[in-house]
Amino acid sequence: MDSALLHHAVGVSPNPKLKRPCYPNRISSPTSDPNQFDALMETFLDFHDSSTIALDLAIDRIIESRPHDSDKNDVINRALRLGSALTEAAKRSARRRASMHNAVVWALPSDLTIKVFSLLNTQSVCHAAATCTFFNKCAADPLCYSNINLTTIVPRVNNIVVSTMIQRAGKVLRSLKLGIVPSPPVASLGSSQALVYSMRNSSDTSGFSWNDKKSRQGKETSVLTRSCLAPLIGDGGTPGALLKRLHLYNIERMDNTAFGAAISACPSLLDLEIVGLHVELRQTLESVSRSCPLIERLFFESSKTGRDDNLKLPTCNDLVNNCPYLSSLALRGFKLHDPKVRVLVKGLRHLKFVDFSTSYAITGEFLRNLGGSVGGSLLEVLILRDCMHLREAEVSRLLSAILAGRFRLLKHLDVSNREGLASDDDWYQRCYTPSFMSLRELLEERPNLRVLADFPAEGSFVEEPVTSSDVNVDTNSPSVASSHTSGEYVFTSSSESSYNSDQSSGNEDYPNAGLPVHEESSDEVDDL
Amino acid sequence: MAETPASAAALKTVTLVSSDGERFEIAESSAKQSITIGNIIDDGCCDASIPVPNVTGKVLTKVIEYLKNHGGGGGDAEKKEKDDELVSAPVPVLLDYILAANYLDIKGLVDLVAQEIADSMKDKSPEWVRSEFNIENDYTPEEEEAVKSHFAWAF
Repeated sequence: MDSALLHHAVGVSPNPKLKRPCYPNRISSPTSDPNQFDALMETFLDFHDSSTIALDLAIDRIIESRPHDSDKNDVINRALRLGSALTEAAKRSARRRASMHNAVVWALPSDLTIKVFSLLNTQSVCHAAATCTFFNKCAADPLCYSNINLTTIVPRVNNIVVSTMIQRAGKVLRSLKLGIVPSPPVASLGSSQALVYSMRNSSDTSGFSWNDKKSRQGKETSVLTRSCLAPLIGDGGTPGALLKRLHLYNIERMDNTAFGAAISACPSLLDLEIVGLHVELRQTLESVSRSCPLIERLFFESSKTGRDDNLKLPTCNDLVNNCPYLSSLALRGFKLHDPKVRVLVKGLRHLKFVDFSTSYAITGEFLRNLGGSVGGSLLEVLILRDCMHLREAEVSRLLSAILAGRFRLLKHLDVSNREGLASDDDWYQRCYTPSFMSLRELLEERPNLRVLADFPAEGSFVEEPVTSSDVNVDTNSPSVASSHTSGEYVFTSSSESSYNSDQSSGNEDYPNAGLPVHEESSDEVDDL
Repeated sequence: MAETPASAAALKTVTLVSSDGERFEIAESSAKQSITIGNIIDDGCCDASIPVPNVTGKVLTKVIEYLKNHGGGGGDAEKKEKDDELVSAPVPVLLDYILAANYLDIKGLVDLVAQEIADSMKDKSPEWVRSEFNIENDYTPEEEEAVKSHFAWAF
């Protein structure tokens, strides 16, 4: 009986080219008589697993019964096709059932699902999309891409990915972060740890090889090129129009022109952070002046510490005039001259946060007479870490000014320096134990002010900021007097190196050390 | 804090009835955090109790707790503690909460639970998400491959 049914099953798709004189019981096509076909299939499916041997034998017998070789092969092919069709039908049904199961188990409609996804970071949205078809559908909604974060530890994202994401976001795009960030960004106020990443030198490139075959093949490149931000400009500039935040890290191939063009499409920009891009200070500030009148925060860390010297006074004036809402300004690793910086600090009326760490040339003179009606009165944070030419005398002057009542809103001042402070006449002459006489008095007068002034070398003057709640300090140190004030400040002396480890500048780019190398490598991945 | 007739109105309560017949009394002012309920009250149909057909008693209990918690008064830390307790429920229950909050149009509760669900999914692999939310893979192998290569940078 089994083999008769198999006859039917195997003979079900008639091939007119083959003669079949011996098959009178063939069932007509499934579509014309579904009930009979269903009955046949049901019986077939009821075959117990132990029937596989019977199945084998039946197929053999059928083959045997065919006269010609071609017929025999035909039976085999039909059996294969049938088996395959059955498998596909079963899989399709399984998927349909899985989808139905998902709809029960995840009972949220699309709009609620999209709401959840809009709270996820970009990578997690991609993971969610890969779980099931419903999530994939929801993950295509623009609201999931309002804040796009494509930063990675090693190069993995290319222009196409950026373009896809920006397109998905459309008008809803508000924030874009892109590039290589070697480790989680250190956002602490006191750090001048360089986020600049040189792909050739970093030890983070474990597992990533420039000669990786896959990455050389055509579109498999995982490198961002200079036109990676072009999608912001495309489509009439819609994506960039409402963009509020743009953070770019270590995009080696970005240049002034491409960057300027991208920025010009972002008139609503409030927050711009650029680290390790090969763009120059003057051109960048000019682009920002031209295109981003609403900007409130600018964080710019140079890729060529100390060598970018092209800032001009007119540029500073333009910035002050065109970007009056700037309240947070960081320019790190540039050669900045006091008069130009003074224009900025004096002219930007809303300035609260200033960070000129690892700057060259500024001596601190720019702060003279500031902090009151002249300008700079709203300053809350001033960071001048590792400024090679920052003079002890100017810092003293600043502290006296604060004591005298200027910089009323200042909460945090950082003048730490790995090489000590410069003495007046000759900046090679370093001062490791600055005599900030007024410091104690200052901190009693201004208990909310926190001062960081870490300098190196043994036996020297170190103080550690301490919160005012409980201060019980070990004061058995030899030379320097210990004092415990009610303010947030304590003198201790230590014979060890004074660096708080998380505040070390980590910055190899000192005048004596080698400067970072950013040449285009010749064996870099082929560009598209 | 003026002593106005409003304080009398503040004592006014409404009764909500869950899909399985459980009855809950709640101050009108707290109930109005639900826009849906608020509309029903304003339309003047609240002399009798207000049925909430889509929500079971078990879930409505918690929703009412939320409304009372945020109905006014009480410290922020206390409110947060109660919120944290609410969202510590297992996933299927959280899904019930957010559906109820959506139906009743209580923005704060929708946001609270949505954030909790998102936080649990953050930085997890697709496999983990599937097992955690009891979701089955309904992709064809080709579709799955296409999705993964589309987002290759993320995997």
